[in-house]
Amino acid sequence: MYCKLAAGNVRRSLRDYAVYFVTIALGVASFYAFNTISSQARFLSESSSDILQMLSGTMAGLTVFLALVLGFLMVYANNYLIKRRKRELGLYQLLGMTRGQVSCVLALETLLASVASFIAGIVVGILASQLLLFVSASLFHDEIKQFSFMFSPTAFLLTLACFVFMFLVMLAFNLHTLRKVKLADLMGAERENESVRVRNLPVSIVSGVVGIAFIVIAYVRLDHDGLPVYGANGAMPFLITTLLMVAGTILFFFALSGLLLVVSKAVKSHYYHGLNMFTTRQLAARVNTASASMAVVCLILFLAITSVTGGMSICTVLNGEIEEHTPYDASIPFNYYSADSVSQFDSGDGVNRGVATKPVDMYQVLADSGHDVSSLVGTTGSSVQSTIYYDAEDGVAMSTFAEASGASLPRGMEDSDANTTGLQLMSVSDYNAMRSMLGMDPVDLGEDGYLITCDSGQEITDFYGKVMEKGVSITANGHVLTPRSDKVITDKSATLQDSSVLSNSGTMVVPDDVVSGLTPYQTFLNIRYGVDTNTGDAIVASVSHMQQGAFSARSTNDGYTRGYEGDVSVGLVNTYSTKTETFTDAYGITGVISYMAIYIGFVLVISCAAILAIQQLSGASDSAPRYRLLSELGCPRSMSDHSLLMQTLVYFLFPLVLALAHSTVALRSVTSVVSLFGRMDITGPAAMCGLLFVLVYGGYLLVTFLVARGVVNSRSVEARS
Amino acid sequence: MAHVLEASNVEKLYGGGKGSTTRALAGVSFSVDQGDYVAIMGPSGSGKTTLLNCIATIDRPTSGLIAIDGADVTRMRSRQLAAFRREQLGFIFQDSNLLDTLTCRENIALPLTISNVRAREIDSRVSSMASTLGVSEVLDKYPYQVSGGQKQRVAAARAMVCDPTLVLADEPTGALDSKNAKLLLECFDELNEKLQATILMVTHDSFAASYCRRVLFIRDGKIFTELVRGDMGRREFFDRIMEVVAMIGGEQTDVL
Repeated sequence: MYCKLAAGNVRRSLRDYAVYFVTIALGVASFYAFNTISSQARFLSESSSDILQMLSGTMAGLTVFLALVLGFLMVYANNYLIKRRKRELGLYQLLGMTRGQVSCVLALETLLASVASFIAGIVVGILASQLLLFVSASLFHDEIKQFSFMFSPTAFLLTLACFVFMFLVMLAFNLHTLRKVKLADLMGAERENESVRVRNLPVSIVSGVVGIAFIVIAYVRLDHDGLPVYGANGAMPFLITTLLMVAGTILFFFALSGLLLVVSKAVKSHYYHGLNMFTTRQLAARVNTASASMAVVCLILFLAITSVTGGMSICTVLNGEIEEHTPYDASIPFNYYSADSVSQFDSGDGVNRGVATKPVDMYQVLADSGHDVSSLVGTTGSSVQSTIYYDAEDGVAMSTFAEASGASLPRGMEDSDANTTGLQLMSVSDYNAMRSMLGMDPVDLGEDGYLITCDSGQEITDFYGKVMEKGVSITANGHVLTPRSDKVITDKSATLQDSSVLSNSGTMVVPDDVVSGLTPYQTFLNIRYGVDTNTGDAIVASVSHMQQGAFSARSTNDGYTRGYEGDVSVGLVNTYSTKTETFTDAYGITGVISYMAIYIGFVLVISCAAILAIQQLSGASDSAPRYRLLSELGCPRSMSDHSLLMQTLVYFLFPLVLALAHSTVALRSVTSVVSLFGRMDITGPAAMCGLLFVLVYGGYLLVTFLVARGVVNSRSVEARS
Repeated sequence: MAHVLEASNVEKLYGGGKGSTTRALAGVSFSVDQGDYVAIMGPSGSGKTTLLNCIATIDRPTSGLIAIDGADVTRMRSRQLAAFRREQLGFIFQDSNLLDTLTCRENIALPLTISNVRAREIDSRVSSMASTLGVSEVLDKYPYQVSGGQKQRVAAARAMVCDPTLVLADEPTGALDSKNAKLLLECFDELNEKLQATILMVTHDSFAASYCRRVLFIRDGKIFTELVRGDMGRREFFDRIMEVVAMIGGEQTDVL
C-alpha cells in the first residue's frame, strides 16, 4: 500500500524529480568513472600505471569530499521539494495516517527515486569509464595495450558507500522537516512558502552598494597584493580579501531584487513595455527567496572555474616549455658540501668530508665509481661540464640589484628570502662551453663584464631586464663589473640542466678570475648521447642512487658516486635527470591535474545547476496561475514565453557572470604567480574544459526553460473551474 | 443597435467516452446589446461557468456560434484569440486574481503594457480609471496590503482600462462581505451608466443580480427563463429574482 502510494507520488511529481534524478545519476556516473582509475592502470604502460595507482588514492579522497558537497546540495534540493508538499503530507495525517507511516511513505519515495537514479548513474558510469580509458591514455601520452571491457568493484563499492551516505543524510533531513512542523501549519502551508514581500528598498540599495563596493575593493586588493606565495605575512591580508569577496557576493545577491527593480524602473518607457514590468517583479520575488542559494552557487561556480582553469593552465605552462628546457639528453649534477653540511655530518662515520676548493672533474668522479661516461657519449655524442658558485653571504642579491637600479622586485617575491641571498655565478669559459655544445656563438666579457641568464618566468625576467637596461655596475668577489649587454639571456643556454620546471632564477656569468677562491656549489654534466636513448637512460640511471639522506651515508662503500680532493670527499652525485623522464613526469603531472580539475569542476557544476533548476521549476509551477491570468488578459504566448526565458536566463546567468568576474580577477593573480615560473596562457585545454562546463550548465538552463514553459502553458490552457 | 454578443445554439459536451458524455450546455441562445448589463444565474452544475468560459474564449463550445462584435470567436486561432481577448474583453474574477508581485497600479497597467500602449498614456489612463473606481489611494500598495473590496475594484479597473467591448465578471461578489459587495456593484452601475460599459456577470447571488438590467436563468444547460428589470425598482426586481430562484430550487427539491 505504502509502496503504491510512494510510487504514485514519484510518478506524479516526475517533473519536480526529473532534475534531481538526472543530477544524482550524473554524480554517481562521474564518481564511478573517475574512481576506475586504478583499474585503468592495467591497460597502460608501466610509467602511466604508476601515476594512475598513485592518483587513485587521491581520487577516493576527492570523491568523499565531492560526495559531501553533492550530498549537501541534494539535501537542500530535496528539502525544497518536501516543503512544497507540506499540504499533501498534512492531508495524509489528517486522513488518519500516523507520523511514522507518513515518514515511511516519504522514505520509500526517496529510496525509489534514488535507487532508480543510482542504477542509471552506474550504467552511464560504466560506459563512461570505458571512454575515460582512452582519455587517460591521451592525457598520459600513452597507448592502450589490450582493450577489454572493464568493471571496477572497488570503484563501485566506493560509489555505493558515498551514495548510501548521501541517501541517509537526505532521509534524516526529510524526516526532521516532517517532524518539526505542526499539522495545522502543514495544512495551512498552501504553497505559500514563497514570500512575495519585496525587501525594503533603501535597505536593498544600501546593501547592494556596499556589496558591490566590497567586491570592487576585494578585486583591487587581489590585483594589487597578488596571492600570498612567499612568506606567511601575506596570508592575513589575503584572508581579508577573501572575506570581503564572500561578504560582497552575499550582500549583492541579497540586494539583487531591489537593484533589479530600481534599474528597471529607472526607464519608465522600458518598464511599461510588454511584460517587462511583470518579468522584473517576478524576478524580484524569486530572487528574494533564493538570494542565499544564488550566492552559494556563485561562490561554488567561482571555485570550480578558478580551480579548473588555473590547474589546466599550469599544466599548459609545464608542458609548453618542456621542450625548451630539456636541451640535453641527460644531466648529472654534482652537489658540493658546504661548510655547514661538513660540520653537520662529520660525526665519525668514516667519511672524511671537506669543502672543495675547485670544481671536480665529472669524468674522473664517475670513472672512479666505475661508470664509464665516455661510452655514453661515444663518437657522435657530446658532453660538457659547468660549475656554479654561490656566495651566500657577500654575494650580489636581487635586493642589491633592486637598490642599484631602482627596479621594483618581482610581484609575490617581496617577502621572499630569495631577495637577500646571493645570485649564482658561472665562469664565462664554462658558459661558453655550454653555448658551443648547443651550437651557439661564444660571448666575450672582457676583463670586467658580466651577463645575467635566467629561464624563469616573465616577472623575474622583466626584473633583470630592467636591471640590465640601467647598466648598473656591481661588485662581485672584489671585482667591479659592468654589464656587457642591455638584455637578459633567456635562450636555451640559460637552462643549466634538464628539468621539468624552470630552474635558473638568475645566474651571473662573470670573467673566470672572479670565481676563483669561491666555493663551488654545483657542477652539471650535461650529455648528448652517442648511443640510443634507452641504453643511454639505463646507464645514467645506474650512476646515482636517489634515496634521501645521501649526504649522511655512513660508509665510503655505500655505492654513492663521491668526488674527492685528495682523500677528502667534497660532495656526491645523488640525482640525475633525463629528457625521457622529464617528459614522462610532466605528462604525469598534467594528467593528474587535468583529471582532478575535470572531476571537481564537473561535479560542482552539476550540483549548482541542479539547485538552480529545481528552484526555478518549482517556482514556475507556483506561478503558473499568474501565466494563466496573463493569457486571459490576452497576452500572446510568445510574449509570456519570452518573459519566462528572461527570468530563467537572469536566474542562471547572474551567478555565472559574477563567478566569471571573480575568476577573471583571481586568475590574473594566479597567472602572475605562475609566470614566476613560466609563461601561462589560459587557452587550449583550459578553454576546452570551460566550454564543456558551459555546455553542461547551459544544458541545465535549456532543460529548465523548456520544462518550465511546459508547466506554465499546460496550466494556462486548462479552463478555470 | 448591433448586438455586442450573440450566442446561438451553443452546445458543450464533456467526456466523450462511451456513455459518459456530460452535456454542460445544451443549446443556449441569447444576445447582449451595447451598454447592456446582464446577469446569468443558475444553481451549481447548471452550466453557467462553462458558458462564461466559452464566451471568454478560454473554452471552445462543441457546436454553435458565439459572435462578439460580429466576430465568431469559436473559429479563431489561438494567436488571434490572444489579440481578441486583449482588445475586446475585460475580466473580473471571484478571487480578484491580481498579481501579488505587482502593485495595484502595475496590475491595472498590465493589459495596457501587453498592448504596448505608450508609457505616458498608460499613467493617465490608469489614474483616471482608478479615480472612477475609487482606488486612487491604494495604487502604490501591493494587493496583499489592501482590503478584499479594494482588490475587486482594482480588478474592475484592470478589466475596464483597455475600454473593452464586453466585460465578463465571474462571481465578482463571491468573496466579499455585503458592504464591499454593495460598493462594488455600485461601481459596476456607474461603469455601465457613465462609461457605457457592457457587462455580463455570472452569479448565484440574487442581490448582485438585482443590480443588472436583465437576468438570464440557466438550468441543465439551457436558458430557463429571463427577467427584464425595465422600470422596476431594485427592491422589486430583487423580489422577482428571488421568486424564480425559489422556483428553480423548489423543483430541485421535488426531484429529490
